[in-house]
Amino acid sequence: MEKLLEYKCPNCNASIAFDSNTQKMKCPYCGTTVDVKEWHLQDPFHDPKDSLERATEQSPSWDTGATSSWEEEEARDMKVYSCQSCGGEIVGESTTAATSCPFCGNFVILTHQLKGDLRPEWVIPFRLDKKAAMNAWRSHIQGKMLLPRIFKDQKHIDEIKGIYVPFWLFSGVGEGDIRYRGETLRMWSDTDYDYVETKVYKISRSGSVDFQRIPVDGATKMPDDLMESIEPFDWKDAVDFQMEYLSGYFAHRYDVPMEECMDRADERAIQSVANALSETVKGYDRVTVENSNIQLARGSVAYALYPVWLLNTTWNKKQYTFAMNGQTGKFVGDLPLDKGAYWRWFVLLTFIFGAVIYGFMWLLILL
Amino acid sequence: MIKRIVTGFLIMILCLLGGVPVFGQPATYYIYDDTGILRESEMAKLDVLAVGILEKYGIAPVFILSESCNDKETADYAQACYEEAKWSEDTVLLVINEGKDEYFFYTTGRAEDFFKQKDLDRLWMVYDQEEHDYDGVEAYLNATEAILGERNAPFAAIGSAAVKNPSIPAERQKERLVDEAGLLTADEGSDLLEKLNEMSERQHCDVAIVTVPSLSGKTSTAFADDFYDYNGYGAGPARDGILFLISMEDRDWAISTHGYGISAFTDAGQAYIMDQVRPHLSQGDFAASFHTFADLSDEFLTQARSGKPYGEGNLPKGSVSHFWIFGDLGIGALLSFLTLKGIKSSLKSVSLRSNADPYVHGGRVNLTHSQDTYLSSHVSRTAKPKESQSSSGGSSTHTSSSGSTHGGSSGKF
Repeated sequence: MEKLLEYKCPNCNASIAFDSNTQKMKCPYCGTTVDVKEWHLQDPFHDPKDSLERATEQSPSWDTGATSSWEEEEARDMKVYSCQSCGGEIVGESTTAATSCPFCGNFVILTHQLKGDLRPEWVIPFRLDKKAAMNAWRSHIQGKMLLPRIFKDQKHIDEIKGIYVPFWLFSGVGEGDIRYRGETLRMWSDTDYDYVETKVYKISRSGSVDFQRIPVDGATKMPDDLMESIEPFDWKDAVDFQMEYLSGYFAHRYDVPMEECMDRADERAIQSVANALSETVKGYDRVTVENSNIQLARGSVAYALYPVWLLNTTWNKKQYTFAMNGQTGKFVGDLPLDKGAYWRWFVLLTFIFGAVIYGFMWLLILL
Repeated sequence: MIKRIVTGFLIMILCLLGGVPVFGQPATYYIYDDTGILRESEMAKLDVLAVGILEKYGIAPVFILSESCNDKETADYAQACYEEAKWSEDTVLLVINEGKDEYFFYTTGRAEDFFKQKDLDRLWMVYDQEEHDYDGVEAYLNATEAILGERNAPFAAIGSAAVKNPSIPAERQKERLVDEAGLLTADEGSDLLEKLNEMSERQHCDVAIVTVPSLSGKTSTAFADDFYDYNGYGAGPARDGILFLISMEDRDWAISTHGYGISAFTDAGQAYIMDQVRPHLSQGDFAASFHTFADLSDEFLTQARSGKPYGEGNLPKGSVSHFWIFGDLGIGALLSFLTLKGIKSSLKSVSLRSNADPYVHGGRVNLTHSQDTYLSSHVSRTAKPKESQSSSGGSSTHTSSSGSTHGGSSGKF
């Protein structure tokens, strides 16, 4: 039986969880608050060996510090746990690291998911609570034309969860050499001719760009575009990982290996290097890239958990997922289009614009 | 109190009416009478007399008998009448204000030289002497002729074509529509002729259309001029008119103007008319082209009477063709699509990021090498389209074989 962790209030023994408003462990029943660091010291499960330090080195390959290993039982997809408070069966996936008991609502942490090689180095704790998430959701659907009315009125959320999403953070240096062709144009006229003078230049730029902690989400279940859309997370709130932060929330450990995520980070890094170099080419009327060579020098990679509020709603037989950055509050999510309203507006605007232009034409003729 | 208001109101209306010009009698040209003293037949006879004098001496003698001169000052009224009708550059006009028992002489151009104050007094005397108005006007006209004869007034100056050329008939010899090339059906022809006749009478200016199978070796301009002159076209003493000629042999067209027609139809104006007419000609739709020509001529003459004939910089305002109703709806649809596209995109907020800019340490690149090298340059030039030669904006004229001055233009279709 894997070890399930539930945190109990030192005062009243109720289930205590991390409170984003105070950034401390807070008991929802008696209101006692305990600093996370303090808690950790008096926690019998605390293992000093778990605090690892990562050094940043320049090396040709990403430095992970150790290879990840899989325990045999973890190969199976679903796991069954037993809730310590009510004895109910908690069904978790192989990646679930923190979840709640469907019967008594108690939050439990699956410590084996977060031990050894699977242990995250950093975590950005939640800053915004569920209420903030719901408010953000309401403002998100407000004032959107062409949103179906029923969708707006329903305001129905199937599910809202605060999840710690696993991210691979890539740091390194990108170096680029780009050659461009630039043109300046000068135009003038005399009584007989219009002249255009074109001057052609050969332009070259080389430079390096330092990248720090490009995040790539390491959970298959989390849509990458959704996770990228709530970026950026602010590193200043990052702390050393402690399991206490997870209580009261859901969490996943990664299931996409770092090597696969690397490609995505590379893609973005290369584009940034190209943009940065191109920005330095100024003063031309026309610029085209002739040759581009960008190399990435691998730096280090870290594994961290970032806070995300996830909302699900179903409408018209389709599922709509919304996400809010649990730290900055940035809210994203695609909304459905009211086709009827769209076409009604299309016809109306066509006639209005057409009439205005027609009237304008008459005005020009008559003046 | 009420009486005063009513009276004041009536006076106001009368003052407004004072601005209304008097002309509404198309029957005679040089003799006017709104008091009803002179009979129509009498006025017609006097008119003929006046025309005769004008043709002989180039001076137009005009007589106006008015009940009240529209409550204007007789002198102002005389000037307004002249400006309205412009009988000739050289006119002697006698206005009698019956109500006020006043008279006024208004002379212009060479008439000013010929009719000194004592001459005008003499004219008045002969009119006043007679008992009946008809006799008075007749005497006035005869006296005018006598004075001009004494002065040996030479014939027409520039512009008014009272040149006595025996080969130019006084009366029009042909109809205003001559379709020798057979381009119109009988019905189309009669419709068109009716329109041309009505408009020519009304405007006191002949608008004629002639079609021929061939020019018999002449240039289209010469043919048109000669057709106009030797067939006696033209209204009034100056033989005002415009003639539109079509020759099918080489598909030539020509316009010939004379007298008032020269000023009414400027070069730019003629170009405008032909722009509207030519498409129909090219398509072979002659009835439509001639009707367009006639309608435009009517419009041009009306505009010219107001003092500002259509010309360079002053062309008739067209209208927006009906095609644009669809065109504008198309543009409207495009704009609508673009607007809604923008609104639709506000519904979408999820997408992959293209770059890692937020994670760039320091926010910019550390440039290690930057070089801009000048390679070459070249100059290209395009010729500017030359503006076509335009005349000073009026009407260009030439002299025809008969010696008279014509305006006009020509071309192919």
